[in-house]
Amino acid sequence: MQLYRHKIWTSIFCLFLVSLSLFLFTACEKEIDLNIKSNPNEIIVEGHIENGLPPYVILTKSISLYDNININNLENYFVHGANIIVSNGIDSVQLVEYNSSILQTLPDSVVDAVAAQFGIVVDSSGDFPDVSIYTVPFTAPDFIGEIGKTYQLRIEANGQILTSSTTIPAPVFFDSLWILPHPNPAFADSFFQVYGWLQDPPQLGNYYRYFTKVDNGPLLVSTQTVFDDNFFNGKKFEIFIPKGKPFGTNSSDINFDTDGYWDIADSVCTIKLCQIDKAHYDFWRTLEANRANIGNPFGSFVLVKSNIIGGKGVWGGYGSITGSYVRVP
Amino acid sequence: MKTAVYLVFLDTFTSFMSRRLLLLIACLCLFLPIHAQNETFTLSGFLKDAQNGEALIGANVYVQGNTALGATTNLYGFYSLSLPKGDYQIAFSYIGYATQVQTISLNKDIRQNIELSDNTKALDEVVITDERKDENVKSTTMGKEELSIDRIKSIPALMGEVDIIKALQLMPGVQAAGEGNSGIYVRGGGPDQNLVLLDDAIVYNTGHLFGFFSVFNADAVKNTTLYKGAMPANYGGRLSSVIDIQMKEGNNKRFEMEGGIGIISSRLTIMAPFKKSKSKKTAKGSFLFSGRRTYLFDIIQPLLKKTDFAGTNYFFYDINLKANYQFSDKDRLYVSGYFGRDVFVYNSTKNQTNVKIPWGNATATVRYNHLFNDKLFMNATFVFNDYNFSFSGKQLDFSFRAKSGVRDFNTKIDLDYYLNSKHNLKFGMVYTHHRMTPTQASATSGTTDFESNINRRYSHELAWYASDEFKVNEKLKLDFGFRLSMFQHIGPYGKISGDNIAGFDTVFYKRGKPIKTYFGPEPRFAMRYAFGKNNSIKAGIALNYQYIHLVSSSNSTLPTDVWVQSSAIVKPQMALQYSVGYFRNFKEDMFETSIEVYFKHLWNQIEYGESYVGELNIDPELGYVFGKGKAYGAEFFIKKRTGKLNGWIGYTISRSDRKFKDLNEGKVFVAKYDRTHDLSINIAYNINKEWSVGATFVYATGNAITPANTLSLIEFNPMIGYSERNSYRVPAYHRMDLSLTYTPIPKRRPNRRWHSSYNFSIYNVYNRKNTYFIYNKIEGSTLTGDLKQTPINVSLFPVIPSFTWNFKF
Repeated sequence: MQLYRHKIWTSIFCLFLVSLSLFLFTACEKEIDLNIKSNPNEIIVEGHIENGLPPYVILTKSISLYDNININNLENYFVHGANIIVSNGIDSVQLVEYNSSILQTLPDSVVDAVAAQFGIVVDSSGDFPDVSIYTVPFTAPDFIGEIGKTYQLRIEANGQILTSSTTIPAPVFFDSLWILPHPNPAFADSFFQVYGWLQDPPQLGNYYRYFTKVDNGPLLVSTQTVFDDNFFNGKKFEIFIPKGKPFGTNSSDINFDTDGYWDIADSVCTIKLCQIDKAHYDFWRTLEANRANIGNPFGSFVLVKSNIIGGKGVWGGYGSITGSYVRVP
Repeated sequence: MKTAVYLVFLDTFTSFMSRRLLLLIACLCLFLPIHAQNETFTLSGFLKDAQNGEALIGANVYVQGNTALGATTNLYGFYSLSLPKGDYQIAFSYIGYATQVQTISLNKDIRQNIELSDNTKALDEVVITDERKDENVKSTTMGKEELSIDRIKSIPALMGEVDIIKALQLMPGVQAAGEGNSGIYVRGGGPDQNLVLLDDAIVYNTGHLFGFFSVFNADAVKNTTLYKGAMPANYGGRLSSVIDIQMKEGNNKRFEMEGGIGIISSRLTIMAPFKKSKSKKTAKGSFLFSGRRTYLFDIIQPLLKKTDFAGTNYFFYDINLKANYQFSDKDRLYVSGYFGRDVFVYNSTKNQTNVKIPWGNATATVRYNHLFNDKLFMNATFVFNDYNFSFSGKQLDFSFRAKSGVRDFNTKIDLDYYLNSKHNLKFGMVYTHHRMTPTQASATSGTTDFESNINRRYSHELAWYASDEFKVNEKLKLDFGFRLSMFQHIGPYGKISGDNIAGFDTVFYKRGKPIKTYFGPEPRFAMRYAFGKNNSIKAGIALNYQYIHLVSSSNSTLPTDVWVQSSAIVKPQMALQYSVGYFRNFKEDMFETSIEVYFKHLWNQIEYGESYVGELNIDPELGYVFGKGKAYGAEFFIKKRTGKLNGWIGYTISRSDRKFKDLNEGKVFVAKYDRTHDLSINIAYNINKEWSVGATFVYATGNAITPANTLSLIEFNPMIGYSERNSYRVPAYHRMDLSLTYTPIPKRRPNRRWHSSYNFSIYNVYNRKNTYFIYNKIEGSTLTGDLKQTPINVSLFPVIPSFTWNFKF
């Protein structure tokens, strides 16, 4: 969001000084062999519940830093056979593990939501990578997220017990959405910007996360996906909405001229704006800092703040509203 | 057992906190057994440089043959020595100056002002003699390092920029903060634990360009003293060290100019007397102006002009000013100031972006010296100082501004009372009003304004001190000191309390209203026991409090780092240091050697939490965690003071660790200031009057870092896990520098005033690729299946030759 461009500027400043020093002093880089002990195989939880959608949980294991992992070798990465219970204080449901072959049998809305977790779109062929996901069984299709409720999570896996709790806050959406050309005339023919008017609720303590989607593509996130209202509590203001990047985009592949701008071919620009609770927000905020500090000599490491007791990762509720700007070519 | 002892000791002091304690201290200082003597008289006066009238600081005045009967000049060159009636051979000596001996019949109080001549000018041969020959053995001070500017200038320098702070890094117990960095870690303490004073003004940020260069222009500096052990009671407010830098005063005899042109900057210093009366050789006052500026990026401006980045620039500059005036033999006024800025401008027409970031220090000091009588010297000081960082950026109709800084007003009174030849008392008080500006941001987006409302913080810092240097006999010398400090966070201050479940509430404190008060009793004690011809044992103990802090998340200090004060959440840092040392000189004081051992306890140390992410409008103190630490080590030092070949070797073996409940799962970890081994060798060889060479070698254990060790994926993007805090050592740091200086002596008119000198130096002679940082290079992506991470070692300075031309007129 535009407010957060100062961070980009700060990075420019740091980049400048770094490059200045590197230029002045012709820094030298070379590969080294770090002999570092690692303790992989910690359980990582990625679970969500959203208004109108059933809960789902992806359970994975951490791996050694220099091991290769990608969409083609996922089989040993997932944690199978976990016993997972989600409860809203009155009702509870035991989640069932689905692998890619039976995912296609689930309702479309669930498949889409699951696919979004992996940043992909399930087309008619229904090809899913070799993933595993836990969600509600067919017998309890009515267990869906409701605004204002708190959801408990309990996981038993590999002899460990992990617990957490999250809420679905009341959602807020933009009053209006509009577009502007790319500020640099050189790019104005191929890219545009999307803006929205946002009225922040009067009470301090609103935490936002947003996704974007082009036409029928997957819901994607940008580099910085969360913000809070500390700086603009209760205000109404215009906000730049950067387009999300495909999952797995390497930060070094980002083109600063076009990053966040929408392509001239994009017709339906969809934005999902979610309200999340503080612990959920802290997870994303620290995760984004954790990612940003990879390779940053001046930033120190940031440990991701998890809301999972007994493990790592997140159990996060989304109170969402989705809207679109339809561009007439 | 030991723990119990110092806890009891601490407890006694804290529970004793009252006027009673002050009284006790006053009694201690004033009513120590004073031996009545028949008819004593006082010899007092000022010691000055014969060439330019500069006061000589820390010069020695002593009775020949009985060095126990002696005095040292204070910061203004004043000395006072009380002796029984009689005839004496009094020696006046100072670093690098020829010693003068005068016969004085002391049958009344005598005022004797002395001018000493620079050794290099007085003698035909170039000899560098530092301090009084046996100063290191005979003084009570431990962990005190003094370097003359001439000696500092002989040390090979990075890009030819002579750097006082980097010279201090070559001393045992003092470690460089990083490659090419002018930040220092003293005896396992952090960079914010050093009190850096320039003419009594605190310098909050001592580095230009990420600390690669220090803000002190060596041409404007007269004297540098580092205290790393038990610091004298007149200093306080920091835990680890004091770096006391005095600017030159000017020249009250003639106009003098010096300067230099180097590869990245140029310098010019002018010193001159105020109007002289015709009958006198010496004016009543003098002034100094000194400036330095870099120009590397100015040179490439024409190249940038036609690009999208026209106007993008980076430079820094320093200005030092000083003037002094002597109203009478008893009254003198000094006014001095420093102003320095780093300026970074980034323009991009393509992105319609414009960013300007200036930052730097400003200080102003007014000092008034008054001599009440032959024994009582007073100095009153008023200081203003300011450190500012600001950022302003604009892109289209969006603009963003941020600023942070510290501003102090400080006033103090110092009294030196030379009671008799056995007792030298110092007492005084100091008051500082702090105004700390945390990062305050504001932004304008179209027609909407945003303002962060983190409050500025205001506080009073107050301290009283008294000390007595007591010469019991020729062998034993004791130095008692006590400092009582107080810190008070005051209004205006508004605080948001509560959370987003219970709701938020704002508490507001009116201007001047006390919010939180701390007291710190700080006893200081040092002793010396001399034996044999040239041996002494010294010991010291000191308790220090620190009320303002710099918490940095990175390994080097950045201009964006913000000083914070103590508050209800942030408690004062505290350190208790014990040290013991053995000092010995050899070969008629040609060689000085010493071994010092220290042990330091640290409390209320501050770090950012492990998951801390800075956010606008959130008070950073909410992200701090607190813990304790230990630092201990042994320092070995050998120095050859005289001869054509001179220099020193310093070696330190040490450890500094921390224990925080909220860091590293509560387990002990080594501090980032920890260096197991640290070796510095500096050698200067004067080939002849015109040519000299210098060499430096340093070796230090690599920095402790926290390496990444695990990977997991969230939304198919990496989440990195880390090993235990500071559990990995980067490869050892070592480097050698060389320099060659040619100072031609004109053959035709060897006495002419114009002197030129040419300095050629090579930094990192054997091109050691020292680790500057290590990062993980990420290539490919999880989606394409070729994600690969590689650890990369980045080294900064290769072999760098530089050339500087210096002149003096």
